[in-house]
Amino acid sequence: MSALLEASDLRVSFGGVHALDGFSVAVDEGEIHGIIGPNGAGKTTAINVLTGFVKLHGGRVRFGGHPLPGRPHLIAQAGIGRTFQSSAIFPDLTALENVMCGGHRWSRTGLFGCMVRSKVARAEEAELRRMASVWLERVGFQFPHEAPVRALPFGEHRKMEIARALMGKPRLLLLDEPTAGLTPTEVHLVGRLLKALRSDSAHPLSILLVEHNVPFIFSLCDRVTAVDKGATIVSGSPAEIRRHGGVIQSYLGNEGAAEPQAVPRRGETHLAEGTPPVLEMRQVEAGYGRVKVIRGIDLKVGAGELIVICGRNGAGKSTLLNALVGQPRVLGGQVLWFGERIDGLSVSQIVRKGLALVPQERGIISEQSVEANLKLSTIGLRLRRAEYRARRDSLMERFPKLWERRTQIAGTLSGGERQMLALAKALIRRPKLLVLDEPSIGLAPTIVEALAGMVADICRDGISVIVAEQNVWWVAPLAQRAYLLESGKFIAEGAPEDVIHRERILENFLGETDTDEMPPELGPAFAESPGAEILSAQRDVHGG
Amino acid sequence: MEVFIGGLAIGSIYALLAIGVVLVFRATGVVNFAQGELMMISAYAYVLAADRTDSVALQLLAAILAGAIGGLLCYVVAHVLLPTSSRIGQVIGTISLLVLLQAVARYLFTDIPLRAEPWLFGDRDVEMFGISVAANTLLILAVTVIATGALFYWQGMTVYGRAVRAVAEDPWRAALSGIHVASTLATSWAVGGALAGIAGVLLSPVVGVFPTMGVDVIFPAFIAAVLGGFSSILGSLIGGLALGLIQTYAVVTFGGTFKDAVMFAVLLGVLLWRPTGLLAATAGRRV
Amino acid sequence: MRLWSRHPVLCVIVAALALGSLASLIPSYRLFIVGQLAVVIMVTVALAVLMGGAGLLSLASAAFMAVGGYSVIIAMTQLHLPLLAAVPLVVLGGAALGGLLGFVTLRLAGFYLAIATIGFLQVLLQGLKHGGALTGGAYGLVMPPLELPFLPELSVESVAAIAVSLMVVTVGGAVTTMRSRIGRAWIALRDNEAAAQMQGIDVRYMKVLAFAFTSGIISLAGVLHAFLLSGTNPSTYTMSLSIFHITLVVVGGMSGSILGAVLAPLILFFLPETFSALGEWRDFFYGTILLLTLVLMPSGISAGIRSVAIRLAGPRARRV
Repeated sequence: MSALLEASDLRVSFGGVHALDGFSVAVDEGEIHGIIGPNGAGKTTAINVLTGFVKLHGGRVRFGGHPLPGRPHLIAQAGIGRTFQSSAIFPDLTALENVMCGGHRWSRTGLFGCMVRSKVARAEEAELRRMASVWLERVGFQFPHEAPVRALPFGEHRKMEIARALMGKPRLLLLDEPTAGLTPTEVHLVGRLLKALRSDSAHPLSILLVEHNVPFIFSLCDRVTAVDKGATIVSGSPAEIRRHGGVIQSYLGNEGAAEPQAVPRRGETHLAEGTPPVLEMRQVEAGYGRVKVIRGIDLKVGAGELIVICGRNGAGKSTLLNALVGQPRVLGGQVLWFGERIDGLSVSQIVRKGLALVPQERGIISEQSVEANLKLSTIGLRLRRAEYRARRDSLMERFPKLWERRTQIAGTLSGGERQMLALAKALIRRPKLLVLDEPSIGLAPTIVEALAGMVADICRDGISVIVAEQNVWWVAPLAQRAYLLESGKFIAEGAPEDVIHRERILENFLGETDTDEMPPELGPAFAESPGAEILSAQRDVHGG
Repeated sequence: MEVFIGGLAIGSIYALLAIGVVLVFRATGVVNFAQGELMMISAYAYVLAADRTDSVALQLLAAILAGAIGGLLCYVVAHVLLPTSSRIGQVIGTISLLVLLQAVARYLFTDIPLRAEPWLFGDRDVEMFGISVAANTLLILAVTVIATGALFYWQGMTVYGRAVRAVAEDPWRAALSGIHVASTLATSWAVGGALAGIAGVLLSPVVGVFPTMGVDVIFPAFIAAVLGGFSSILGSLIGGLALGLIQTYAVVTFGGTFKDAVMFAVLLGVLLWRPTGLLAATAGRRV
Repeated sequence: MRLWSRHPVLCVIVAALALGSLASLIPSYRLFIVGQLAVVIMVTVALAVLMGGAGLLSLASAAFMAVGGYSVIIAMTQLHLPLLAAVPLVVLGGAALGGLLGFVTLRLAGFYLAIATIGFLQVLLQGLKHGGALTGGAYGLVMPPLELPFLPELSVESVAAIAVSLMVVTVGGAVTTMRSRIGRAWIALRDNEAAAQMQGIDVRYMKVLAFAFTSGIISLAGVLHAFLLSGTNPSTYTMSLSIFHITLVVVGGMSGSILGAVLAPLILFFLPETFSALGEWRDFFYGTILLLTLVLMPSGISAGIRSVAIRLAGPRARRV
């Protein structure tokens, strides 16, 4: 059987940098094929080449025995569907209409027919509508089909996009990080769906997916291609890839990345009696528009304390942290900073008081250089030049890689470097409280370990830290206390181990699947989701 | 030679207005349609000040202040009154300001143009390259170049300029870096207005002061900004001067009736050749 | 509702006839303004499809009104075409020209596109002003008598009534189109061009189609406008007119919804026009209404109405 898609020796470069340099992949009819590789290996570029968004500089692609057409819509018409890494929904259409757009490929009514709603147009429209609702059901879309989609949870967007791609009756489906930002339960659901699609005899479908979630790929795919630095390292069955030394080396870091061994233990609490806590929240409510996302939040943070807030996607973690710095505005309750009320101040005023937030999408100024980013973060401190240099240099000792890249535009940094820069930006202000929103998201396991060490150092310097995380394994051992957030309320608090235990129970309770069915590798350690774009898109959705 | 210098002078006015528009656009993403009206109120302020005082410094100050206050008014409309509006909604907000300011000017001063004396040098001429040039023309050129240079330094070299760009990129992230977003935005609007003020002082002796003097020059200013890539101060200066020259030579060659047609034909040609302006940048897609 | 989705053509024809004959009951001095309102609504609806729907910012609406007005007179007086042949021909010609403009400006987006369309308008205007006998120079052209077979000569009043009917047809056509695969394709390419392409949507073709469709409608509005004023004058078709139209679209709402595009002209054209006794205060009035609408309904009238409706419907609607 010849391959449905055959890409050999693809080469692409952007301004001298080789994004793809000898990438090859072959997908057979009816196969589920995975592509894995570290951040910046060229996975998304490969997908973009295969769908015509990026011009090839060398190499050859054949689809169904023919060369690939030149423009994306022609490629789509030839039978390739795809989803995007960041949310690519059409926010002004309903869910049903979004999916109906996927049928554009095979519907034919012209402008005049549409305008007068001819008989053919009506029949076609009815068929589009019927198929779209069938697909929405099949991907497990949980909201009314006529619902406005702008404010739906991220997971629903993902499902909708998959349904939309399937609506075009593709022969090959390209999925770019389909599980990014999904909870383990949802990941499991997507896996089941993809398997079911492949075995659906009515539409023989091949699937090529790019993923960070390696266990997911291994449990799902027939074959896997591992890439690094734009080139294919090896292609083969999951078992072969698992054993391949080069893959482990390039992707998983030096030791296969399970739970880290050498995480430092937590320090002592500094919550002295009598002095007001660094931060206190009293019955805080906040949200967007008339919708309250968080309610009745009580929280105290002492000097040098590390606090973890866990909870699933959409529980309100980001809203809670963003409300701390004043956007969205606190609608009810009080936020006290060393006993002084700060709710109602503007974001920059709160930041200047010494509260630093590193948001999910890192909050770096991506159009300016690393050095300019640091310099910008000292605005309002009125530092002398020497003092600025001293602070900068001491930070750069902590982040030596950043110093090498000080003239680079921040937007071109890799995921790990962005996180380092975001931390450096926050620390150069010498904050009293550092708030990290999903700091491990999109980072390779080795970098997460380094992050854990840094957070421990920061606490040791007497800076209080709040970390909101979905994947708490790396930070829980450091924390004094943990809180579990669900539907905008704290439903558990106490020692990190207990709270995390409650979280697992909750996850299983909320998910519909049986724990036994879940692949054992799908631990929370691997439900990491890459891509700052996704998260910024999410923030946009929430109107932040 | 006279034609050349004259072209540069009118081009300078376009450039000053264009730079004001671009400055605000870079910081806020809003295209300010009321920029011409800011120039108009500054011109009135200049004429009124000239009636009351002989101090050239005070006259200039009055005009610049009027422009800056007008800029702050735009800020209030675009960001305080319409904070949740789309970009295009904010742009329409500046159009409503355009209508209102014109209506106010027409109510207070009627449509009859007021005469304005040239600032600083009066009607004196200067001998140069064997020809005599109005001192005011040279003044226009010099002021434009100095103002552009100062802005270029401010935007490109200082931390404050970087802060403005950071706010333009993403107000939320900028605020997280400790930058006061509101005051940064307001400053950009005020400086843009002050530039319109300077343009008003320089233009009013040439054409007189009347309520619609702004709309007559705002579109050439937009074109100058587009030619310069719509996000570059230097580009706007070059675009403005080039446009002034093209227009003046077009008048000399084809006669006054085809002035606009030639200008827009040039614009269309340039845009079709280079869709993001001669000195291309990426900011043009953000309207 | 059921009838509308099954037989939109029938519904539109009935509504057009009903509103048209209703309009002819209005006293004639009012009818003139109502006719003009119908023209403005047609242009706004077209632009709402182009800008709100396909996301293409065009300031050439005045240009296409001029194209409609001038070419219908030229077709009738110089080419001696009968009225009923001239109008469809002009509409098709306007659509073709619009498609051409859309094709030429395919690479432009946002403000650049807007400025380029201004360029098109200005060049066209200069051409009209200096077109000699063909365009009547600075004075424009005078409309010949409007003759229809078997009917008396059309009066301004009947033109206004016809304008109202055609406005209804336009609105109906715009609504059905926006609710079809083509309308969805426009909204899709506006929101996310890459994702739209992956649905097999030919983005370039759809953009050109949007320009052609809307330019055809605007040309028709231009024809009616010239009929109402019994001629054309180059000083009518200025950039300010285009800006006025854009203002109406933004106030109506940029989401591709047609409802706002119908209501905005009522507020910003009909109200000030009716209160023309305001005299020199008219500009104040217009500017204030504009600003107020923007402040009160930042996402446009259609979104404003929707949120009010939801609030009125109470918790029942919110649960759905």
